[in-house]
Amino acid sequence: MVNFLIRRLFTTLILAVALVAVVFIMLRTIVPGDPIQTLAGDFATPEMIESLRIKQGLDKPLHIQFFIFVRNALQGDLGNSIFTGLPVTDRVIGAYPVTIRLTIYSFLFSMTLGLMLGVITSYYHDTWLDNIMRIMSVTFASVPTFWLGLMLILIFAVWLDVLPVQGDMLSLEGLLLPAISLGAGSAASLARLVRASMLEVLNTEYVRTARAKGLHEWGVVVKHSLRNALVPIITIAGFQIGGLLGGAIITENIFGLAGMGTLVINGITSRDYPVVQGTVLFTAFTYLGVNIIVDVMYAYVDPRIRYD
Amino acid sequence: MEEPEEEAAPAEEEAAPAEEEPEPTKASAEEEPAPTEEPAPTEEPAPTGPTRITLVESGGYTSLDPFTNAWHATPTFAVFGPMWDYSLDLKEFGGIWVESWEFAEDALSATFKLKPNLKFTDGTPINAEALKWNFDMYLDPDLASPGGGTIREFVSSVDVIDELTFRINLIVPWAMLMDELSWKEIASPTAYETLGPEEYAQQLISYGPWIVKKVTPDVSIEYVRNPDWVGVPFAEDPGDVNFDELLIKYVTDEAVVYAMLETGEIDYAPIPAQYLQQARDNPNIEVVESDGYDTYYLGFNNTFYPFTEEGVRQAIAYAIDREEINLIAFEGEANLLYQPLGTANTGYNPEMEEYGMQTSNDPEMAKVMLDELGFVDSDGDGIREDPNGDKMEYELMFPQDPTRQRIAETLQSQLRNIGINTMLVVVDATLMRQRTAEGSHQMITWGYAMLTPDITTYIFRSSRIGASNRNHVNDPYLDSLLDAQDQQLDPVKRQEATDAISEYLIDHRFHVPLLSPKYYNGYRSDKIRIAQFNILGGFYWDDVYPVQ
Repeated sequence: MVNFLIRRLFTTLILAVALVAVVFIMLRTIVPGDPIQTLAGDFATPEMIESLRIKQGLDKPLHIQFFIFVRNALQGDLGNSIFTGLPVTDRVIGAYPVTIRLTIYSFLFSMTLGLMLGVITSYYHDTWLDNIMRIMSVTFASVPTFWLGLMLILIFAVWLDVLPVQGDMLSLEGLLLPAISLGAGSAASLARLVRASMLEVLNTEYVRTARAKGLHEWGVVVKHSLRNALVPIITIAGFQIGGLLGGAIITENIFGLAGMGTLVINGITSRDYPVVQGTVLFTAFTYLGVNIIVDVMYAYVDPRIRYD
Repeated sequence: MEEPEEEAAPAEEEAAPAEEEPEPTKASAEEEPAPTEEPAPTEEPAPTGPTRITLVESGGYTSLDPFTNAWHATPTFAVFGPMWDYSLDLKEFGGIWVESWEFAEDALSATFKLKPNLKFTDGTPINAEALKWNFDMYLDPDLASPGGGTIREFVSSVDVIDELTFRINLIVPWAMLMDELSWKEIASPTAYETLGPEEYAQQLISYGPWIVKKVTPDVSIEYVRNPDWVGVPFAEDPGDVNFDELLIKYVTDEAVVYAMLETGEIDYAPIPAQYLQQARDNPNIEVVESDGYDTYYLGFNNTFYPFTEEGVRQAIAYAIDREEINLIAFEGEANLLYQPLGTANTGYNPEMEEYGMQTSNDPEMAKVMLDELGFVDSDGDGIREDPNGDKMEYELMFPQDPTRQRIAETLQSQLRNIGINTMLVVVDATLMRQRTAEGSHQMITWGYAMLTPDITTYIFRSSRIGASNRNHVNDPYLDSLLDAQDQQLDPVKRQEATDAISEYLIDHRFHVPLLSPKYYNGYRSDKIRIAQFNILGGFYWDDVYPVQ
């Protein structure tokens, strides 16, 4: 296991560096748009724009810029935002907890709801309850996050006036709508997966045996069935964290949360290269870290899986 | 000048030269107009505990350092009180930091006398040395301050005459000097040098109605009242900010911003056209309506054939139906525009509207003109070919925005009616700037906005090609007209110069002005009272009161 972890960490590092290199090059070569034009403002003359370009070091050849970026990044310096002048590391460190908190809350929401609905619909499969929940699952899995967010705001903030429009990661009421908005789609997808997985397990002989032995139905469903249905669910859950991290970009924007999503959207629209690079780096590490955790969890959930 | 889109909204207190699309929003002092409706006389006595007013900034968070930031918006105007400010009708200036000023006879310098005993909020005296330090920062070519761009073009140096008197020396006479400096941020030199740029941007030590308490990038800025604020002379009760605290939240989604106004999470916000009726129906929201100084236009790359041909541009101008665009894009709420300057621009002359109308609203004339120029549909597919045999098919680029999208689609339909096919290209504002600067565009629909007529210099002067001259107009005669306007201090002669420019632009159709949207702002009348508005719907901080 230790060797496996070391290998994975090393691979993760390589992948993250490669990703940032790709982003660095793509931002400057493939993605059109000149941040200096925007930074200079609309009153600038062409000469002023060039002065600013030199000041920001964006007049240098691409390989020199990359070399400077890598050299500084290795010392923990991801550069300064072109537009705010603030160190990117500080900005990312400030935004990271917001996104992680939002992702965790959404994940917990989607896991709880998804597992619950999946188990219930599989247990009562082909009943009216199952049908209703399946329709709901399909609906929520299909609804775009931004639309759901706006609808939640309209219903709970504007019409019912029970929750605030703007999100706030420090209070329960402030995080409810963002977490639900982000997690609803995942919960719906997860519910369908759990249902399918559970249906398979509930028909196995060992489950029938457990029932024949007179075990309590709760124990049969949760201990014997759900646990055995978990391996594919964990895989999907791992992917879902990635999806939630991505979805957080939209959700944060709608609910006015200053997380990585807001940071990267602002960075991309203004072509604030250092900010985009920094957020991609941190997000990549997070995603890859989650994948390692998922791999490790396999071994705990399914004793047949070993990493030697 | 041209629309800044997402960027920080160029909203200023008054109506400073907003950049491209003006963002009608501003919540700072003055902004949009509003026929001074006398709000019900409510008691103003502050409730117990600190009173707070909450606003929103819909442009993204940018540096608040005046020397590295070209975008000016409510968060900065709250702190950097202007040296002088416009009257409600925007026709005169009243000193805030300064008590008098005088231009030299040759108009190549202006001398300003500061009020005595004023101090920045860190205790540094506001004196001539402090002002010179600020101007030197803006003028420093190595610093290349975006906010000082215009100053570097017109100001040669600043001299300290005595403790409270300084003189600005100009390279050429500059009519816009007073306007430019009415929104120019002035920092405490001591604070800036002590703290350094990064830390200064978190504290913003200056002299204005508010003092920064806490900056949370991308989230909000908290302020407390400046008890030493001297106030705007045109305010109902100058010198008193009537709230203890100000909170400005950064929220970019306009639907969310409006929802926050509906729920009372914010007290004042711009209202998008689609929510206008809803806001008017809300008894707790007072809608403030005013003319705007934006110009939405159809632009051409004047170096791209066939837009190099004046006749083609004129034909297109004939083909456009502004009424239809207004209905589709603005639900009929914008002002139609037949001249280059937005309705609330100080150089706006209604007579120019009639002049512009003479060569508009006639699609049949457009067809005849194109026929005569040899742009005919020879293969009967409904699309004309130019004299070289190439189809009249061009890109129409616009920045991502639902309103712009509707304008572009309507233009596409109208141009199709005269046999010109357009492919809509939607880009973000950053790419729009780059492509229009490098000249890789064909047609665009965008906007520009500034309070004074000098905006035409930014948009059409040949020296601005590669920057804000997005139509790539290179016309020496037009340059001379622009110079004459920019350097003319006499108001009557300046208006004549402005009119000459408008006529010339209409005659040659380097671009086609379409509409000047009105500004709509709303405030929670159950929470705040605004005593008076300027003609742009803006207000002075001194005129806002809490409602118990």
